[in-house]
Amino acid sequence: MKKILYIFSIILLLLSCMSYLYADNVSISADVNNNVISVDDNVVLTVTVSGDAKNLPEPELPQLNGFTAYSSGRSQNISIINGRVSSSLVYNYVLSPRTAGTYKIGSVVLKYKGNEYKTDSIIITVNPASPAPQTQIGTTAQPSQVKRAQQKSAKNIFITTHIDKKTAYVNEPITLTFRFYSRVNILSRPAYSPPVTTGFWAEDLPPQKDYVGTYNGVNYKIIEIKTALFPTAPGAYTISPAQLQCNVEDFSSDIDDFFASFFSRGKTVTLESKPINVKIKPLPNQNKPDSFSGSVGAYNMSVEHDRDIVQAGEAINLIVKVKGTGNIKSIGEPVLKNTSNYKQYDTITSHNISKQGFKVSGSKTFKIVIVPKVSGNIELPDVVFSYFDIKSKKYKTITSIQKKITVAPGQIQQSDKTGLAQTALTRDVKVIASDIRYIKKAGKLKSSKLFIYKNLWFILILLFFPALYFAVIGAVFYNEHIRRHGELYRRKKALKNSLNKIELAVKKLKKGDKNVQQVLFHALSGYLGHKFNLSPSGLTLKTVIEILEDIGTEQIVLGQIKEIWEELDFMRFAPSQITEQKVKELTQKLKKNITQWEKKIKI
Amino acid sequence: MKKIILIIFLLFSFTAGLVYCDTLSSHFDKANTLFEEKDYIKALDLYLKIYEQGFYSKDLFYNISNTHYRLGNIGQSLRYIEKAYRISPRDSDIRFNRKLLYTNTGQTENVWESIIGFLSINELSIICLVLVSLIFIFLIISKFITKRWLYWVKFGVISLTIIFSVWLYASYLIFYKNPYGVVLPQEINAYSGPSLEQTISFTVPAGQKIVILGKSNGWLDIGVKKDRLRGWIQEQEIGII
Repeated sequence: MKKILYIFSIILLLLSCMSYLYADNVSISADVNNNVISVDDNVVLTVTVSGDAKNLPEPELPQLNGFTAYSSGRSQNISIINGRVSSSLVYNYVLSPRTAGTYKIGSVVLKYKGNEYKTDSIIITVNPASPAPQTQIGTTAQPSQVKRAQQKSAKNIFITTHIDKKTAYVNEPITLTFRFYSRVNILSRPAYSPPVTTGFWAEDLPPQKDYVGTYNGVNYKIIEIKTALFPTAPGAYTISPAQLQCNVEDFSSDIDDFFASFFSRGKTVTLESKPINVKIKPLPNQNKPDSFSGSVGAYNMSVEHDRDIVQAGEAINLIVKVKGTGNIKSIGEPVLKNTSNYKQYDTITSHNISKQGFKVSGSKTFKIVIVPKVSGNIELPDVVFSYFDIKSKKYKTITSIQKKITVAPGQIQQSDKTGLAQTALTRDVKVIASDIRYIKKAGKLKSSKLFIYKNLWFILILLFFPALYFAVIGAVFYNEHIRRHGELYRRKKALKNSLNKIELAVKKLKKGDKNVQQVLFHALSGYLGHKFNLSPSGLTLKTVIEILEDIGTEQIVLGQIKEIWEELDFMRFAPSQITEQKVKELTQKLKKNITQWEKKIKI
Repeated sequence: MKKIILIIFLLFSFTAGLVYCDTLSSHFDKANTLFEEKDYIKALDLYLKIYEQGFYSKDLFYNISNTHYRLGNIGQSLRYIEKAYRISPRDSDIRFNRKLLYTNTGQTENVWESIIGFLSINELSIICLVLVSLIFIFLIISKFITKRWLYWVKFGVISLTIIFSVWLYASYLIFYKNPYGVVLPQEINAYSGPSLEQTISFTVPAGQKIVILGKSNGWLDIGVKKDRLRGWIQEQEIGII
């Protein structure tokens, strides 16, 4: 297998070498567009060189007696088929006759790889100038002598700009033509500054044309550039001059032609055309359709839709194509009418522009998405497009042909809880406009403060529970303290309790009740009992005296206590023998002494 | 005798209060009728009279906002709907109108404001009051009862109190620490200082909610939160919420 591949590769290599050896099948031919011309005509000489090679040289023109030759460009076509290169070159020359007569154009010679290829010679008859007008640039034909005189006095290089109409409507196309005339060699690539076209939407109109023509009877090499202008608003506008800068051969007229070719030198020339005034008229308001959106030109419209059967809620694409001549980019969106059964969404646009024949034409496509809201056989919305027709100077409206589609009901609702199935068309809630909700008529005029915590009741409630808590804490603590330190408490309270009882006795006495001895005795025994942390009920005078002596109480105090105790004891057991006066004295005595005892009895 | 005079005074005060409320209610009803009759100027006049009496009612503010909207005063409309919203942030009508006015003035509600503003400051105050009271009640109970569940109840109540207290403080910081205002004219200039001779820093459209940061000689130092802009505006051009 490897051997076969090896042999096959060698054969391929040999074949490719042979193809190289047998290459260079070069041929050359020459032809003219007209063999009989008048002296003010031109003849185009076409030389075609073809061969299996890539880099073919330029052919050599023979001596052209009686003609002035200009090159008007060349075109090349290279093709590679099965690795073999074939090339075809076409050279165009414009031959301008100098005088009438019969001339023979010799063979055009091509030298390639040591070989010389020749064309057949061509005979051209040049007749004297015909009376017919010159057609190329709009100038009238001149007799050859006059022409020659003109050629001598005419400018060698200049530019012009002109427009096809001086008055136009808004958005009506105007063609601006720029021409560069030259009859000298250009030594550098010209720098072209197009005119400023403020107030116009400009579209280039390619291709650039290069040809030979006459201007005022003088032959020039002409470069022509066209631009389409679409006025955007009415008013008077000026198209500013175009400018062109180039480097050209400079010949002194005083020097002989022979020397001129040796002493020619370059010079930079800046050329400027004249400004052009244009008047732009507004579009007429009369009979302007509602659906008109500014399109000017000549248009037609086609409408297609992608589906004939849909479910409610599903989208349909309406493809609206507006085709014609005019400012394609500015074509406004067609209007949909009778859309109550549809919901319309955003439109997607695309355009296709052609500039053939130096005219802006093409189409703009609008893809409009619509969704049917109802079911049944319903008509598609009418598509209406209006434009201002340039030719008739009238508004024209195109309306689409009415078409119907079938809309099936939308989603089927699931069975409800009762098992009854319902079928219903899904309908969107149609929002007409957003508005605020209505006033609160049944609203209550209930006042509420901005900050509720500034109310007194709020503060009181807020403080109440903490205060209650701390009160409880205090009470609990106090009880606990009493529980732990009852002796001390009783001692501290002894005087106060006794004084309270004495006050009770005083009040009874004031009311005329003299039987207060029991109260007074309890005041005394209670005081001493609490002081000594003993039960007052079982307290005896003897016990009291012993305790007081133990703690080193003064004898005076002991005597006072003993005296009062015995007097009260006596009064308790013999109440009939006491007088009111005696009770009062004893009460005052007890009150006075008990206060003194508080300071003198130290426990 | 003293008791009789006190009772008479209380009865008189109560009756006078009732008569006063009844008068304001009739004003409110009359204003509503005028609104229905599309006499918005007179309706607004009556609503504002009630407001000047010191009434701070969500329904009153809602209706004032509605009337201003009908009169084309979008700034005032937004101002009063904000007042209503602060009293009753969950009222569906108030929320709807507030959202619509925000949309109309090209504003969007701050997410934090809508979360924190879910409860009004008064509702939060009441909740905090109840929770604080409960804490002390349970502390008192726990002085007498020692049960395990009581510990968890106290823990829960204290946790809730902390959460709601933070919420309350956040609400205060967002809505009340620096007062808010609404731009009343169509569009006003904000200057770099409190004078017409200062440079115009930016323009603020009608209905734009702004935060008031300071005040000086009839000028307000204001901030536009969403754009992080700060400037000075004349006081009369702002409606304080």
